[in-house]
Amino acid sequence: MESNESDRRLAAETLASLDATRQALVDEVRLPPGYLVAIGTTVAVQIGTLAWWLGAPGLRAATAAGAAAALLLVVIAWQVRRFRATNGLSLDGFVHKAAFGTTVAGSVSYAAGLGFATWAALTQAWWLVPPVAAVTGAGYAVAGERWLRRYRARPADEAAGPPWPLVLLVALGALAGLLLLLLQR
Amino acid sequence: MSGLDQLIHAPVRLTLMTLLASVSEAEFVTLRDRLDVSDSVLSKHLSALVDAGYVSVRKAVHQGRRTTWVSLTRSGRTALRRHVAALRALIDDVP
Repeated sequence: MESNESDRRLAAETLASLDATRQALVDEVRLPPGYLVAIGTTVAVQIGTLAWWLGAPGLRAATAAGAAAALLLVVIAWQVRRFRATNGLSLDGFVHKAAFGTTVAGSVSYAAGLGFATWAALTQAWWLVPPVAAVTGAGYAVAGERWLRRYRARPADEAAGPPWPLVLLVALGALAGLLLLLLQR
Repeated sequence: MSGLDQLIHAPVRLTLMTLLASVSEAEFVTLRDRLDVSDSVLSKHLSALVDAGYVSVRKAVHQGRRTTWVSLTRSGRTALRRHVAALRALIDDVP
């Protein structure tokens, strides 16, 4: 009986210690310095140039949109690398949910911003495109920061990204959409 | 204590597995500092866990520096889940 009681106490102490150690680690996970500005600005530029191309097709607009999309990929890759260097660990959840903006807030912010900016460009309300792009970039970046807060609260759930087959499917869908868009231009 | 995985019951190994369950990969140095153990102690524990198929280790180079990245395998995750469940069952088992 006494042995059982001692085992129970030991088990409870072990679990409490594990929780404390894990929480200490996840509480110290940080976004790389300048992450919000870098991602927010690049997304804003990408949205703005894409809306420009969709609203006023032409070689210059297409080149700008293509360059901005490539720049966004480079900045995301750079931030993922910096995240690993800053924290000494990697999180698939950060890559997918924060950097690639696949959280509900990130994807809704991006889709709504792109839609609004494109509408503004198509209706020749060009003055609206920069502020909409800026707000979208800020929303996208802040959604990444909100993901980090969720990760700290539920590390086991938020550390992982979506399954790779799903990522591949979405990437192929995006590529097909882009090709369709290019063929229509 | 029954139902516990003796391979990961040692405090350092259990803490190591718990830390790895919260991340995708962790650098050797990060784990060493968190666990407050020497390089050789951590290496020894990692070797045992790698042999059991609970963790995997890969080498990389970052800014000209060799780095080692450690991650939990699927069977390691399952083993940890079972071990923690056994600990919880022990606590809940009030006579």
